[in-house]
Amino acid sequence: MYRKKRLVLPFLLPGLIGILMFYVAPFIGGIWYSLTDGSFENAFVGLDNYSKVWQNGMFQLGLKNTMELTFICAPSLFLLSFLLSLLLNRIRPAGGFFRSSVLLPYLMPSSAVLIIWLLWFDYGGPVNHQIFLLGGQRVLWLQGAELRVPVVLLFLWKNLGFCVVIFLAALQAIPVSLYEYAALEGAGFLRQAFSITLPMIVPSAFLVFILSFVNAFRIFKEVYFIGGAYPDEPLYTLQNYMNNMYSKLNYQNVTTAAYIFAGIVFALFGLLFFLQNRAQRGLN
Amino acid sequence: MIGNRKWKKLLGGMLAAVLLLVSAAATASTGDRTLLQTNSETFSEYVERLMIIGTRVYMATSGTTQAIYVYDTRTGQTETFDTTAMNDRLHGLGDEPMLTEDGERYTEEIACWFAWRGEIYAVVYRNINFEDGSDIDGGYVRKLVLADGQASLEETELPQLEWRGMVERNGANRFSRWITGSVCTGEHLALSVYGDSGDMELHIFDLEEGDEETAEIDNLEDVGQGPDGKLLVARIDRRGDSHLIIETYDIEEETTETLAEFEGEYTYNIRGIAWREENRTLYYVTNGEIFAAREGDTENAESVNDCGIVPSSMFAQMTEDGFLAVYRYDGAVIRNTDPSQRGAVTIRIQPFTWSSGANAAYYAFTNERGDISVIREENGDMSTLLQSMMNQDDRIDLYTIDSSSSVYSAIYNRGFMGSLEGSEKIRNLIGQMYPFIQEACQKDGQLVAIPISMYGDAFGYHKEAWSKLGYTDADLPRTWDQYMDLLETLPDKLEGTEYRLFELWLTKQGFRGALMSAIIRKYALTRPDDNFNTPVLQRLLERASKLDLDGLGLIDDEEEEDIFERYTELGGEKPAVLITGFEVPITNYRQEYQTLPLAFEEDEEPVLTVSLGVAFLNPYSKHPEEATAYLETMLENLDTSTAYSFCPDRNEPQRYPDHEEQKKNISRWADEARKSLEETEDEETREQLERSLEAIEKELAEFDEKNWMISPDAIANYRSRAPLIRMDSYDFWSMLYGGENGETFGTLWSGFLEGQKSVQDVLTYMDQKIRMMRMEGN
Repeated sequence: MYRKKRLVLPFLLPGLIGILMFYVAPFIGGIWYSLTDGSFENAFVGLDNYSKVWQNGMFQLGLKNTMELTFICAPSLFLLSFLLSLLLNRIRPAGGFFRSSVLLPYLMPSSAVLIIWLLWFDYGGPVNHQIFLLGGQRVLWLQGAELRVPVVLLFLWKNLGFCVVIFLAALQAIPVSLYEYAALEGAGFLRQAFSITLPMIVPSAFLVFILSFVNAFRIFKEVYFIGGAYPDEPLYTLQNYMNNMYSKLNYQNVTTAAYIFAGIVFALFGLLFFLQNRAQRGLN
Repeated sequence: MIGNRKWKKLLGGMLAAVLLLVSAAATASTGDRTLLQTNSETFSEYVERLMIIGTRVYMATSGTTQAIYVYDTRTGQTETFDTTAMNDRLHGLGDEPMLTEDGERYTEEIACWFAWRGEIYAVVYRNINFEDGSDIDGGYVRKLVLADGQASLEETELPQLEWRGMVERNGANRFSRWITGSVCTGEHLALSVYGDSGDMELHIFDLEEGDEETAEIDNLEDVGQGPDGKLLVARIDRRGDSHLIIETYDIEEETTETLAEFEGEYTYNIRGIAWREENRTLYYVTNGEIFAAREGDTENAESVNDCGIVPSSMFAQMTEDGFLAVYRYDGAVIRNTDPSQRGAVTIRIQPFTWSSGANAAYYAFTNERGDISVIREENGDMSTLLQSMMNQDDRIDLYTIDSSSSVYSAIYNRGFMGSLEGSEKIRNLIGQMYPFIQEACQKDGQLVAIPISMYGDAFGYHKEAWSKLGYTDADLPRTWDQYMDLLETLPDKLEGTEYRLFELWLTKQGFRGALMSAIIRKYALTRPDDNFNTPVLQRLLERASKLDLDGLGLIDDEEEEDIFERYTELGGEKPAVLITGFEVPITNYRQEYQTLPLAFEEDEEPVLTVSLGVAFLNPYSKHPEEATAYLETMLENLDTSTAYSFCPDRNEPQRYPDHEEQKKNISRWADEARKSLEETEDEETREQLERSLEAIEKELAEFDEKNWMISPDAIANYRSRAPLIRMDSYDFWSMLYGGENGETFGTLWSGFLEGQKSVQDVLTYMDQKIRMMRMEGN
């Protein structure tokens, strides 16, 4: 057994070196950056940077907006993709076509999609036109807090396909005989959904849930394309803060903000894993 | 502390150094030499052309001082030959008037100089003036004769050159084209000339026959002597990536052959090409260094010496013994091309801001310290400076930069600046300066930078006009509101007076932009923690946007083009009472004006803002002592107006160094006019001459009073305002215009100036963006 491990090591070494060089070392280096003042002396300042960044108004704004957008986008994405996958799973004629089509937005470059999106949500665009026809007032979608609506919709539209594909794979892996047996036993759609479908897809659903959060945390490209480095306040995210600090070569603030954010994300995901384990045990 | 006397000595030394030909040998044995360096403040002498015969360098200069200097690289000696009499004869100021065969009066000008078969020649053209136009008759080749300290031109047996291609027509007038380069090979003279299209053309003359041909060479940049009796031509293609090609041109065969090629961002800075036949090497100057490429092999080119001449309009020629003579209009240097003779230490300077004092320092330092090679790198990107510091990059020893730039702010805040406390000279010189300048040069009580220039503008008013209109100093506006009140009342008061309100060229759009940006900029500086969308700023911008611009006598944008044609109609000769862009530091022009500091509230002190050009030492420099010595030289070579603006005890008015010379010239013109008047019988001509004489005599009478480099008025004006000066610590407009949001702001600002966007739109946007930027910090 010991001999076998020694034999394995040379095969693992290139990968381990890569991980050390490109993940572990930058991670530790980043921590060092976050503990120094970045001046000529590069003095060790302990947790001063953490304290300063945490108290910085723009960091707080970015964190707040990122959290808000995440808690709007991630659950919405999860729910919509689950419902859509259920629907697509039942479509029989041309089901393959629809299941493939849903992935198309994910493959399109954001910049190209954005132009169409901006046209739709322009003050004189089709969205406002429909609202007006329905008797409503036109809305300045591309300014202020209203800008969150097109950004969230764009995010959902773009990421929905990928989550649907994961759900569909899980749904299609459930043996049809289970549903047939349940139907014979008199179980209806809801009973089947909660007693068969849900327990069977929990691992995949959890993956989708995590991915939804990860993608939502990284919501930036859409914001940056629309609002630049300094978008309207309701759209200023933590990524804006880190990006701007990076362009000012303030690596101390970039790394500090990144580690604070990473801490929050790890805590959140830890909680999610805990809940998933609990849920899985309950369903079993 | 340095006393007044020492400053005077320093100033005297500086003025002498910038204008006089430097004849002292450099301390090292390299043979490097500064032949001439003129100063942007005076421009009393500038280089026309350099010609080379063997080891002798002939330098022709123009200006108030004009001469031919002959420097021999073997002896290191310079001879000077006065060209005043020669030029007077050319300009028709001799005893006899110069008349064509048809009896038309003409003057002569030197079109270019060239060296050929061991002699120096000039090509002369005649400028013939008719009643309704002028003509050019050119191509006369004259030989330069140097004897008894005098230069003269003598007739030769060479034929008149076919000069038609060198003449430009504009209506009834003809002008000689501007010749940028001249070089001889065989019996041919090649001239690079700016053509009608603005592109450079290569005209080749047969000196024995007088015939002319134009070579088919596109995008010509420079011309020189090439290998095997051919010409060396440099062509640049600026479309897409810059591409410089150096070719040889065979005049007989009319064929070109590529010798070397360069590609990349900074190829436009490759200048001063020259060929040395003895070692078959191509020499060129780029980024502050002279490179040698054997047989044109630029990939293996070797840096052989430094050359701090600014690349634009630079030319070079090679002496027989391997010295490169490099020149442009404001300076000429001799550089050894043997790399083993270079200074033992090399310091590098990256100039991110221009300063004539820093320019003068290069010549002064390299002349004095031959043991140190100084490379001024022109190719650099300021945005990478902070990253270089973070990488502990020691390649550049000194930087010059604008103190209001965000890059400088980051460098300063993080302390990436070497201490200058070790230099007693720097401490003493800066100790003589205004406290606000001393403060800007220090960090945590340590000297870390030296000031090399000062910028800052403000609105101004005409002092004499102000009192003639019946106003006193107490009536001067103190606040922006009062300024706006004045704009509403002053136009009526100017009716029928000898004054106009604003400068003639100021357009409505230009004035709106200047006024609005001045208000916002000063507001941002004086209240850095305030929002922009405040009642004060709203009120002022609203008022400014509602001003009756027609009533202010401002022209429409489209009228700007024909402003000179309508000069009299628009009352252009009238002095303006108010001006929008007046320099805060001491200047040698528009000294009849004074700055107008304005506040936002009655109980607030009005301020003027300036930023500094500063130089600082890279804390990672491997040559801190040499670099500090260079900074000392920079401080000692500050141009006069800058030194006066920095130091409160510099109060002695300064004449131009060539003041007496200028005065003598005007007297001479007056004598000539008097003489012509005596000789002329034609009544109409007499009237013209009388008018000219009257104007010359008036100029002469007022000359001592008005012709100052630093006038008593300019000093008094500045000193009275100095307590109100504050440092502009951050580049406010760059914050708005820079980065990804710049385009959005640019569109918004243009819309605002055109009246399509409201004051609210602009202020709200600024509040949001600037506040976010400030809150983020750096």
